[in-house]
Amino acid sequence: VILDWENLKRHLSKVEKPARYIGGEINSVHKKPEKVSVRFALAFPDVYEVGASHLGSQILYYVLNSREDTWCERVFAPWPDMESLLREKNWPLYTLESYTPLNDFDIVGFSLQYELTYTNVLNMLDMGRIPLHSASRGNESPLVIAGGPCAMSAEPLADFLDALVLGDGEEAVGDVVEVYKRWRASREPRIELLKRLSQIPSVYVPSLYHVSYDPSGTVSSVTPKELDGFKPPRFVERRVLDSIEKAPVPLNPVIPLIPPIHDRAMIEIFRGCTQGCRFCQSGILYRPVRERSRAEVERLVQETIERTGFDEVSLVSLSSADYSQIEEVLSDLINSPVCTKVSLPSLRIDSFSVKLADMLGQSRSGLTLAPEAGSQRMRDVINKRVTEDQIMEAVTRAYESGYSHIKLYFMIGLPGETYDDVEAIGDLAKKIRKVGRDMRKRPTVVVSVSGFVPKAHTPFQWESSDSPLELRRKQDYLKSILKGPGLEFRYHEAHMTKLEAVFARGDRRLSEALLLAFKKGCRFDSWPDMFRKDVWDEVFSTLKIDPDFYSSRLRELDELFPWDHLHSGVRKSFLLDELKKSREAAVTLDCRGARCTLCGVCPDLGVSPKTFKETDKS
Amino acid sequence: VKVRVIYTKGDRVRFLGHLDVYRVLRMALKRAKWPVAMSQGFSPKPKLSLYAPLPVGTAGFNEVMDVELSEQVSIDCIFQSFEKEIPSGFQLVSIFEVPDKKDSLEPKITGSLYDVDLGVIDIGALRTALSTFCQETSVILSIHRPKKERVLDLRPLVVEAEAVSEDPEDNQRPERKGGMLSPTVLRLLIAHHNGRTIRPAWVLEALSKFGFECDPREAIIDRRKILFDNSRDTSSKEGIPEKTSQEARA
Repeated sequence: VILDWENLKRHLSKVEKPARYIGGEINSVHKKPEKVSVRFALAFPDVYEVGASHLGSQILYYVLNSREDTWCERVFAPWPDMESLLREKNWPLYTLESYTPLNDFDIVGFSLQYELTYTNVLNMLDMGRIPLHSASRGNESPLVIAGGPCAMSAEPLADFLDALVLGDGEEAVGDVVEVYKRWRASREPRIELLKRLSQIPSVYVPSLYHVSYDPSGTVSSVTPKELDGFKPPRFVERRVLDSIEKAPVPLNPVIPLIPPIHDRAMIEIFRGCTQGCRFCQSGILYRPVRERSRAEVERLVQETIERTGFDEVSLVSLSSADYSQIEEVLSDLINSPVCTKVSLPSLRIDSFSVKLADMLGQSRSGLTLAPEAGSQRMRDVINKRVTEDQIMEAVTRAYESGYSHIKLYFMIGLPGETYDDVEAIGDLAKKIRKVGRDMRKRPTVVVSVSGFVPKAHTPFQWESSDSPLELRRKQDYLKSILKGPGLEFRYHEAHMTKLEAVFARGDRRLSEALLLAFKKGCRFDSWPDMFRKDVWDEVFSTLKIDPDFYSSRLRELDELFPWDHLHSGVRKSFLLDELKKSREAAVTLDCRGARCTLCGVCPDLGVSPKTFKETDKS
Repeated sequence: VKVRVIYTKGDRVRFLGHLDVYRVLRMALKRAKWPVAMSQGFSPKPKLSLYAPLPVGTAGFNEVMDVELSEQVSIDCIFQSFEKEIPSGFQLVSIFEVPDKKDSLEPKITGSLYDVDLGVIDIGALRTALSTFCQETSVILSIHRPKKERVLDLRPLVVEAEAVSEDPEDNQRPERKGGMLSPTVLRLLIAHHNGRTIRPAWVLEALSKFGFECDPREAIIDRRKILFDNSRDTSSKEGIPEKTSQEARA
């Protein structure tokens, strides 16, 4: 039985939320296959509702479909019920626009947002009938590429991906399409395609590099392979658009027929963040700060609201209160007739941010703040430059303006953390509750705690992470402290945190583990109900891989990392300085409105920060 | 001003749930720039009502949405603007003004007419099961819901049930029974009683008690139309057979 709508619809009632698999959304793009020369499948390795909210994928979909020679379609990870149906019927994984199997595409591009989606990447390739290993793909197989933040350290996927695009993808993805077309016209063997791809700036072809290891297990060298006089570049540098105005804005995004996790319009107000939190990978991988102008933001908001029919727009960035003209933009937007609701994700913790939230009338939904650490010492270690006075001032102001529900995000397992630091989380939450009580606000304080995962390319890439046992102990300790009316404690599964820590700094030898875990049925590892600790334990023991080597080993300062040949533009010497400062609990200021921190991005990548005000608001 | 929109929830979008339909139509109205009246209060909602919710998987060919507008508009104008914005899979059938703003359709709905496409099945077995079903005075089915189990009597709400073969030759030989495989559609007239009704899939499930087995999830279910009680409705153009409304009340 072939896969088409008539056959599919007889069976879709058997799966949960069948609308995930039907396509036909407003603004989805349909072209005539014979009118295009490149068919591109944009693959998101998580469930539809998550992927449909991803701004980066919407941008690339728009960019690729703006090309006359290319038709870009979408595919998301099928939930296990749909996987069973497709496998049972022997139907391949297909794209939502034309129901075409993935192996019929020229290029399949994955978005790598999170390490715990890696088994889904393998599953999607398998269900799309594409050979899993890059090395087993011939000329008839699609080119399999990936991008997104994890691409900067995706060595565990090195065996399965033909190429990775590092950094801003808006322009680079077009370069890949061009090179692909020229190679296909040349009728050369596939290796020539890989060689050509490796010559595109910011495109990394893992199979062209040889990795060798020390007896101790660490990487001893990563060397470009020499192939008949051809040599790929020694280092691959991250792509950076020098101005965000060059990033096309999808004003007609695909509007899902079922509500995605973020059911609102999104306008990116700036890219990059230089607050300098030492645990934060995005803070490194999107430098420098590049703002959109106020007039442009307002125009885009108005247009996207009118064209999409959303009631709400989100002004997205890594720290939206840092936008230099945020107050002006918000006051314009709330006074304009088009927009009913504006939301700001990721607010800072200060009274200015609370004032902004206040302007938006968010008081009924509650306020979310991320102090990240409970004690001042710990906040200095991670360079989260907010004092307890500022936190108290912010929450006082929040209670004054009618908030009663405050949600706080923290991490445990941070470098050098003691039980005093953990206890300080509880103390801070209680102090915040007391402020509310003194003001007779019947406050509720939700404390949400995740385990720290050291990430590649950050100052903490040398640090160890707590074992699940240690994390559990700290969670239990907090649980015992955070008792009483108005307090709620939430935390993450410690073993999932550990698995994330393994793959966040993994090397190529983990490819085998991914493959075996996939074969043993691991899918959607980031979903607590789907995570299979027992299977993963079995995988590591079968392959004699010690996961602790990756997650909880404190690295030597001169260790060569599996991702060191992939340059974010931030120099390793800067990261090392930051590591040393963190161990002295010394802070580093944001380069916006203060001195250059000499991270290296601007001179090395030939870019500069772009903001619209000279002075820093905070 | 209140307008009544008759639309189709077509084949592709049959897999949307009731709230999904509400969401996409609300957004389409906004893009079409209809002057939709908003409710009062802290979070104003557009004043639009959908009637007789369809479950995920079921298409509907004469669905009704009432929209309250804050100003007088030309029906032609809003028809065109909405037609441009309604998502593919939906289709706009007609729009007309409802004279009485307070006129709500919900209490006037008396029945739904369904076509249940069962694919190629043993039509004889289905007909036998249906006739036994219809002779019963009560057919009890328990519905498994995530939270609790619901037990209900399907029989009073099934007004008419007829198996029709899509192969015209089969229908000329209705006396042949058993072992004949035909592409079959089950026509069901289901009553709505005080806002309550049953799903065609539940009827299929119950038929297994009478010797007809099928996987109700594989049936393609379309609602042809929603039936209204004419005596209580001045604006609707749809009627309902006399015996249907009597039986539905019984």
